[in-house]
Amino acid sequence: MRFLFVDAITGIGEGTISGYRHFPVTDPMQYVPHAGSAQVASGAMCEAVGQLASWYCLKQNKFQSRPVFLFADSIDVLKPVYVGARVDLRAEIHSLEDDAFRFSGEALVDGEVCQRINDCGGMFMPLANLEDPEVAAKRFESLCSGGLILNGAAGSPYPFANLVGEILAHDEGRKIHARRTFNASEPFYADHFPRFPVTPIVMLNEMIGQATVRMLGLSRDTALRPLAISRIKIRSFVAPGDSCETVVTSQGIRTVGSRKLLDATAELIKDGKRILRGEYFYEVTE
Amino acid sequence: MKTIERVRAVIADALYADLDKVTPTAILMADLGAESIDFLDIMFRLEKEFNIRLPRGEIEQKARGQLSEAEFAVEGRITDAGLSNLRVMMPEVPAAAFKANLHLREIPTLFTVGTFARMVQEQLDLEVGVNVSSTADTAVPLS
Repeated sequence: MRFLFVDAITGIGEGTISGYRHFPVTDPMQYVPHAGSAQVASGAMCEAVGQLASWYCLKQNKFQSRPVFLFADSIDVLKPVYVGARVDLRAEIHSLEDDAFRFSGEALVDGEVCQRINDCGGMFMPLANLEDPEVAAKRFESLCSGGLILNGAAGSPYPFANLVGEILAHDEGRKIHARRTFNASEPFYADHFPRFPVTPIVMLNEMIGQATVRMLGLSRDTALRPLAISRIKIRSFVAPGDSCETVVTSQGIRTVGSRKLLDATAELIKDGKRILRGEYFYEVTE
Repeated sequence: MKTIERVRAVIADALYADLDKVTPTAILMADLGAESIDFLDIMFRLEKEFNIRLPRGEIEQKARGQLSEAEFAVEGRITDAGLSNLRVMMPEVPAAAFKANLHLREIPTLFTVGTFARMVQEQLDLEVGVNVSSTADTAVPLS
């Protein structure tokens, strides 16, 4: 399965870009609930909007440099998206400079916003260091002229079901500390990026979500519904072979009316240094 | 709220640091644990907070002043003349921090909370100046 999340680009304006992605039933980034249709992981929507914004930047700088996302003010998950859905994507680029960018974006199903990314920013890296610029340019042309159909393309599904790894410490409901080593053969590295493989931030976010499920002792990933992530920032890449520790802490579940809500803070640690931090807000549905 | 207080709050938020530790003289990298990537985040947050645009690479450009590139730094090392300009440009940084042979890429290690406050204030003053001037240019005489 390719780690490419834009099927077609449908419009480019001054500081705006739109497109769509059809999430196939075979998409590995999905969670299967007790009953009902499988849901697309919220990280997949983030990746789709982020990749769309990347295409805008790449076109503007003539495929010289690719954006690398480093921080976001907030990501709001407003509605679940089910596999099989066509998700419309749009992004607004707030600033685009030689070395930095900022954008916001949305994922919509049937005209309703399902997920919103607010004020995401980062820096640029030379595209040739990451992938073949000619291949990227051709892919862009193809996306703009009817779409690039890659769904169901050959390749192993990435190991999405268990991203947590080894549990090092666990205080149920309050804290979990886990460690996972990213194997060089993880399939997402083939596209992210061919010449400079790094673990996508959205996979790290999903790893944090899955660790939180384990922290709470829930039986299924779908028992924890992400509502928002705020003040997320990554300071270093997670490369193939890197060991990454996840530390999630929380004051515990709080009840608001009939809802059970959880605020958690998560950090990722690599080589003893904190490389990611964010605040996560969930609803517990189990 | 004063500019410095707003800048302190923004930096504390960006670095997940206690506001008490984010004093005007605190050095971002040495005292607050900032990394180069945090500078971009802080710049963006300040731009949003103050609704301004902070020029990138401003300090190096301004410090260079009338000096040519070669006069400012040789093989990346800042010359004495360059250091002297930097000291003038960054009065909030203790003089002892401007060590001989400082590398261009080490300039961010000098940045204090006060450095960002000064950059913001300068930009605010500049924009007020631009607005006043543009108002003057387009003003229609009443009589």
